[in-house]
Amino acid sequence: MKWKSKSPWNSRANAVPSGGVVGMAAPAKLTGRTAAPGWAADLIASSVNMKTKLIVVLAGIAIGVVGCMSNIAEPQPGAMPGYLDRVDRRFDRPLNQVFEAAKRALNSYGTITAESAFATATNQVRTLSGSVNQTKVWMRIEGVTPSASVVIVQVRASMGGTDLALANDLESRIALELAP
Amino acid sequence: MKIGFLIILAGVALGATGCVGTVDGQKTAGLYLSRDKVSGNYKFPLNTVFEASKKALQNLGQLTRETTLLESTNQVRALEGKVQDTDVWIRVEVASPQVTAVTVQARSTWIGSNVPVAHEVEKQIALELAR
Repeated sequence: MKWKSKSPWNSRANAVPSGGVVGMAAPAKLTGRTAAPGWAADLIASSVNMKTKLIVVLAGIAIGVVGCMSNIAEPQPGAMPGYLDRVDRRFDRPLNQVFEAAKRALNSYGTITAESAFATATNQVRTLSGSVNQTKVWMRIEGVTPSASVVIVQVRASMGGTDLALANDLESRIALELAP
Repeated sequence: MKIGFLIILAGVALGATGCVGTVDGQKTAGLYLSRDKVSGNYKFPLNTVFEASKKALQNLGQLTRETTLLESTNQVRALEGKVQDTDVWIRVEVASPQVTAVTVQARSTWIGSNVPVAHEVEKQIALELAR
């Protein structure tokens, strides 16, 4: 392959070193070293470059994977984060009744974006996702017995923050909605 | 030049990795390297197509979750399940008053897609609708 004369790679690709192997000449910027021959400098430089690129790519992947946080509205909610972002409360009411109360509570504070039902959990589980003042809210309602349910409210603000006051308000609102 | 290249590479890596959006509006860990979904349109009402999708998913694997998405103006329902160790998401939405659109997304590991499974599920939905 013939590179353009102004290309930074032209010295690498077009030059033929004394060994006669095309592509082994050191780049122009690295040829200032006199201690090592051109091909050795190129080899060292390319291995350093490769290591740097590999580290950058691996760091990117690691940061990206870490950045994908799960929430309680997922079938496997995953581990708790390092800080408390949820509150839970048990209600002596059947699941469907608590679910409808949770819907009304979330609707009165903000909007519901999705409601789900899990088919595989041993307990009956239903979830709600929504937002209140641009803060994301998830509710997980689990039927622990036919007449009792547990509600978990998780709140996550932007940049990974939380708003436990809002979570508590929502829990209280559910309790009020369930009150006779 | 090298630093610039590395910054671009890091930016691409950060942008392309981590979370992949699923058709049910959720996110899953993974890399978006290639197409992972197929779609089809059917002249059936949404509920008929949704029930057919449920049956198709139950026939081929396991249904884990049913979702109703309320943020769109169109009626949208979604299913999540597992087929041959592949995570599958199905989005069923009203495309026009008589047409329902189905999008099937399949991801095998966190790194890639599994389009053959998505095709299989989509084909099974068509077969269920033909019955």
